[in-house]
Amino acid sequence: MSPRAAARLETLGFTKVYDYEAGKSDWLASPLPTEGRAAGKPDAAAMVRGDDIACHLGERLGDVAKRVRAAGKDVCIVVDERHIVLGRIRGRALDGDPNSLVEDVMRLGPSTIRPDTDLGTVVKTLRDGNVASTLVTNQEGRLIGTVYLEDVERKLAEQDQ
Amino acid sequence: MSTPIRRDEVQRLIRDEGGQLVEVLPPPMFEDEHIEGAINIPLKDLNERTTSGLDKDRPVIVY
Repeated sequence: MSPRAAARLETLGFTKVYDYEAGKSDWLASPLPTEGRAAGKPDAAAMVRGDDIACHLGERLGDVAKRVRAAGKDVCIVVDERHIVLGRIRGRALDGDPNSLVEDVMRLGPSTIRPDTDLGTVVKTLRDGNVASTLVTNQEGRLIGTVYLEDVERKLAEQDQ
Repeated sequence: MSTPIRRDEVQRLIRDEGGQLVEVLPPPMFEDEHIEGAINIPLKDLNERTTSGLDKDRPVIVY
């Protein structure tokens, strides 16, 4: 939408027109100031745990598994060089042939949510999917982190008190 | 031809050049939450009249 708006402004005589391509969701994913009804309310971005272990397609599973276990985790998020989420390896899949490549064992396309998703929607999404966590990515699919159901439920309970 | 920019450049244009932010999404989305200081002119409403308050000598950043 914004490229069309930029083009329209140029037809109206504006010469210094810039298109913020990543747009509002990118801004909301940052701690930068916003205004409006929902401004300041906690959203998925506010609940992200930024301690995910990332790995790349060409890495050996054994190396990745060591890194994941050393961090006390059981999942690795597969990303490309731009940090765009490609897949995930978790649980027993990490114990496979240590010489196999990440790209051969990863599960493609894990579900994600946007950073500006309100907490009520986050809880519903996780409960409906019967999962304990989900990835948060920006509009381009770049990994921001993971939100956990237990964290969001605790936050909502605090708000109700 | 407009220039695509990222978040850090948006901040710089606002800070250093008096950049004017225009959200072109529908009003309910703007009212819900928008970048601080932005104004709302939905894409379909962009015309001479609705943009008359914008300064053509300063950068305009649309999103």
